[in-house]
Amino acid sequence: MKLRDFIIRRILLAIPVVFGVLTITWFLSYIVGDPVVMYITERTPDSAIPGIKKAHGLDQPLPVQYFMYISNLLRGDWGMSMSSARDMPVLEVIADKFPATIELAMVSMVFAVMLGIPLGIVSATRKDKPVDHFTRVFSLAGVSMPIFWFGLMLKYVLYFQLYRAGLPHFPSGDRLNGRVFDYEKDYRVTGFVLFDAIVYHQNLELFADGLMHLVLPGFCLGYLTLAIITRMMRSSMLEVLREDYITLAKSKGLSERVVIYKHALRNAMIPTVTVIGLAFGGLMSGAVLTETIYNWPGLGRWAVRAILNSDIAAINGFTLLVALIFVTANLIVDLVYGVLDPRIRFG
Amino acid sequence: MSDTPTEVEMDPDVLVKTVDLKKHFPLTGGVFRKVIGRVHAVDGVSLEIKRGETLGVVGESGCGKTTLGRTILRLLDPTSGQIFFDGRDITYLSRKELQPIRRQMGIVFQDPMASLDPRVTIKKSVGEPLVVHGIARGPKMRAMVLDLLQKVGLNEDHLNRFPHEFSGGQRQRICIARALALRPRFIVMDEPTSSTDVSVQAQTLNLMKDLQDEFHLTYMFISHNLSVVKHMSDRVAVMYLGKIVELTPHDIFRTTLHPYTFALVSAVPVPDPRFAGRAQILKGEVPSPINPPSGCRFHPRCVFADERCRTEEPQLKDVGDGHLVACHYAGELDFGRSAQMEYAQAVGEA
Amino acid sequence: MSELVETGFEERVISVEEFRKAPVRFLRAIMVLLSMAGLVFGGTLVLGYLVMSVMGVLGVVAEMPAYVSGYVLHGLFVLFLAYVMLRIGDLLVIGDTQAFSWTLYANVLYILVFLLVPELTVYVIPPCVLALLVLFLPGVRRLWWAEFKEDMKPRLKEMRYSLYLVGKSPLVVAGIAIIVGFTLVALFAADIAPYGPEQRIWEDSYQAPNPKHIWGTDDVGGDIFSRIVWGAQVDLRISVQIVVVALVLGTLIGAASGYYGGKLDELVMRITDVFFAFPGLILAMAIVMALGERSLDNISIALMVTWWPSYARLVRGQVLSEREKLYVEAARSVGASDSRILLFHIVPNTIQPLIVQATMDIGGVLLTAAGLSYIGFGPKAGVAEWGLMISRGQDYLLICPWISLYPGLAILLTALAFNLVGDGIRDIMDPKLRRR
Repeated sequence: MKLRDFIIRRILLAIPVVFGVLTITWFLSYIVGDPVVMYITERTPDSAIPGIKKAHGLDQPLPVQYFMYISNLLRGDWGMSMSSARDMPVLEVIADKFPATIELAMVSMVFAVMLGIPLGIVSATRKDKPVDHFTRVFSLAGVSMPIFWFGLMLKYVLYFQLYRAGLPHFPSGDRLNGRVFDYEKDYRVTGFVLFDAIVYHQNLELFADGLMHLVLPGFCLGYLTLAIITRMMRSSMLEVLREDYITLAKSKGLSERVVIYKHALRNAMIPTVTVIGLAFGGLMSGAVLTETIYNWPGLGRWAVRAILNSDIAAINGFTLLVALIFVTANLIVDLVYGVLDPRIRFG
Repeated sequence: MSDTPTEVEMDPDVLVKTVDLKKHFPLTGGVFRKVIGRVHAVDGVSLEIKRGETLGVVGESGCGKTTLGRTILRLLDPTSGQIFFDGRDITYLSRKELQPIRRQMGIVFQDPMASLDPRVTIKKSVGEPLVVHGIARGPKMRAMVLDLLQKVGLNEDHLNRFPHEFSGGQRQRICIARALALRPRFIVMDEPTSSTDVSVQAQTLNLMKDLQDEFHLTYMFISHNLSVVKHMSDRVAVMYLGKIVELTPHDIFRTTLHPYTFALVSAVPVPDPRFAGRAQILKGEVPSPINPPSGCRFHPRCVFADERCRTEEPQLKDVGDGHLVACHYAGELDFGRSAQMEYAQAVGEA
Repeated sequence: MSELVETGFEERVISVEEFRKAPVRFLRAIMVLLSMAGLVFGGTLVLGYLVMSVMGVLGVVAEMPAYVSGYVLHGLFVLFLAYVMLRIGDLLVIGDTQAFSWTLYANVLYILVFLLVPELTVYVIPPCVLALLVLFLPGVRRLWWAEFKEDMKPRLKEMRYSLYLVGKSPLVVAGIAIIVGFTLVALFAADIAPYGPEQRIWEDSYQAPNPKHIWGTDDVGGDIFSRIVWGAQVDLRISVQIVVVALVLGTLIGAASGYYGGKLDELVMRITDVFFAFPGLILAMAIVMALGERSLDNISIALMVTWWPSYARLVRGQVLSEREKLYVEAARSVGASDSRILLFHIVPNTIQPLIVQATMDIGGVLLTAAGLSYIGFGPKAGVAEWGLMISRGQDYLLICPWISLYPGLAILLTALAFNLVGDGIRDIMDPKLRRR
């Protein structure tokens, strides 16, 4: 298959998936759940409910409702969220909270990639040495770690115990030290603290404070991704190192360093890149738990609050958003893979 | 695109007969995986296999000989044409209707390791046909399997082992035992010896001949090895790009009438350096079976080809004494003498 | 009709009439009886569950009785076994010797299942034991034992070799030890735990680990150690249950889709694509939310729905590659049916990567289920469940860290053990290391 055909086919295949995603969210909230709760709050009088139903077309037959659901989504009407201080359209809440989550996810990803790839390489090249054993257990522990508990324990040791000992310590949560900076009021431009601090305010103190607040949640969230990347990097590196062209490169008398970094690494990176893309979905799951623990004003914490308040519109919107992000990430990964590795196109 | 089944007169001596048998594989591509071409693996083969004989089928790899064997057994559904087995048209039988016919046919594959399930013991592998057809189960099946294994030179110790515990030759014999389990009348041997080494090869071939006599079997023997085919077969069919170009009851090394057959024969190495270096090497590659050449399919590689060969497709016709050739100039061409022929003659004289 | 059956074993000949004699007929009667009992038990539970679910949705009954929701899986399995037993019973008298070994397996499985249903244990197990005894009567035994022994020999040999490889890998041994340990703790929770799962000793609230409460107590005086022991029951059961159901569902769908291909395959793949578009935890959240009630049962339904596509994909890929293998064509050439090829040849050959995946998934499912329960989807406050215990402890993290510490360690250790074992058996099953 030609590359062009492959790209077109892959994009076309994403369309039914997006529709499937819409259908599932619709099914969950309209068939299994009661959709009218998307438009009412506890303060809505019962007598108003039939009117609301009518206004939103919930008295129509199901196919009509399905069509309306999709057209509402496309028009940007994702329902009202009632879990914030005041009722707000879901899409507005998402726009408001999205940057915080993305900033956290990006930092975790950077951390996981920066540490995971070298760890994987070291582990593969020193197979069955103590370093390898340590790395394997470290990464298996990462896959087996309950994030929510890990976050609590990090907070307990690196914030509370250090604080009690009078040592310099990490903050226990939030994006910034609220007593010094009021981000929403004074500094918010794009919603990304680090970005705003450097580009719009040239405020190093703000930047440093933001960074400090990102360390614990970033590490907590990134550990799982780190573990996945390390394992993938190790196994693909081991596979590549067995290939004939590596033996050939070695037999030419090239140094171990050159062989590993010039010849092996490029090929071993291909599957790892895929995993990095897919790990994004895991990060969104993890954000739900991490943000709760670190009081991070992002989408995850909003979603948990929505759950506790039975805020169906918010859950629906959140699920939809995450799925759409994930579909896009998968699409990009596949396309990158198709470009990097021609074999995949014939699959 | 099925042809209407025509009445075909059947010679009672003929066990298997195909009429203009075709098997095309669709080729997909593009954004919507549309069919963009067809591989003409078997493209109009008509042949007869008589009871008790061995029909050898030779050809280069990719010429469709394996597909032909599988299509005749209805392991692949033919695109068009007809297959007769024992006087009965089996081309369009359903799987259920085919079941009693399956009992009378068997196949031995090229790779014995791959054709035995790695997680199933020999007893169950060889006994599977018996169980499937409800002939025997449990101890009775065991006794019958043991009998079969002994026929191919294995013993009771081998019953409960896994395929990976055997050598290549033993595995092939196990596969033969399985093909024999239902006491079939017709067995397709699909390159049965090409994955074993030469010493084992001879042993296996002789075993097959012995079994043929014992069970009155009819073989279709597929191979790319001319010497083996010659050793085994009563008649030899030569295939090129999905068609039979020559079908001869004679010694293929001595009398050949198709230029392709001659080229194949002359490419067989001769164990004597005095005759070396005369092989007429085929020029070019085998053309793609997706777009086979017009006219005679062999013309791009044939040294004798002329305008007629390029446009008109030669039919397979009898040149006397059951020798069929598909060449416009059959009998008119002078190939010269191959090293094979001279060597055979020299050996004969010595 | 006195057809003789040549057994090939020590020149013994069995007459078909021997299969019609009293002991075999008695055996068949027991099988039929057990089968009926199983049909009644399984049918009641499964139908009951369906009816209750419908009534629950309609709002007729608020809550499903524990014995209905708790034993649904058992019910399904018993229904399947009962059907098998009925078939075996018929095969016994027509002289199919394989049926005897199936009788053995079926009865042992029956015993195992009904050991987990304490209310019925006393009624069902005696007939099973009786059936096993009849199987080993000398007159019956000579009909099947030699063949059974012979069939088992190669399997035992393979198993011994696998065990030998496992023994060489200390990490796998450690993982297995932890799993076995937790399983024993779960089974004998009542004997190990000094206090009940929801027992509160108010005067002992907020106690640090001490001799009376070795891992301390929580805010309402619950003994952490006892609650972890009881929680093992809940958490292990739910993770294994989810993985088993998802595995069976995924395997059936994936195998059919891979083997038959065509439109069905295309449809199944598009459906799994859609499921894969959601991160596991988040889809499960949405499902529990839609189901309305927050409970462990709904968590497990949500996770089953979330998890099956990954098995379907895995099995489909395996089946696609196995389907093209020559041994499948060989089986087809002798006239084996599609279902026989699928069940006897393709599925056994795809099962190894499946086991690895399932083992590692038990860890993953445990983490997700605990996570869901942590964010508030789980059982009501007070139930001994590890995720819930952690969430309970986070409010008191700074003064009583032990409330969260120990349940978290339990989760970590269990998940780690399953991952160690899964990782290890993947290496052990690596064909490059094995003889074949």
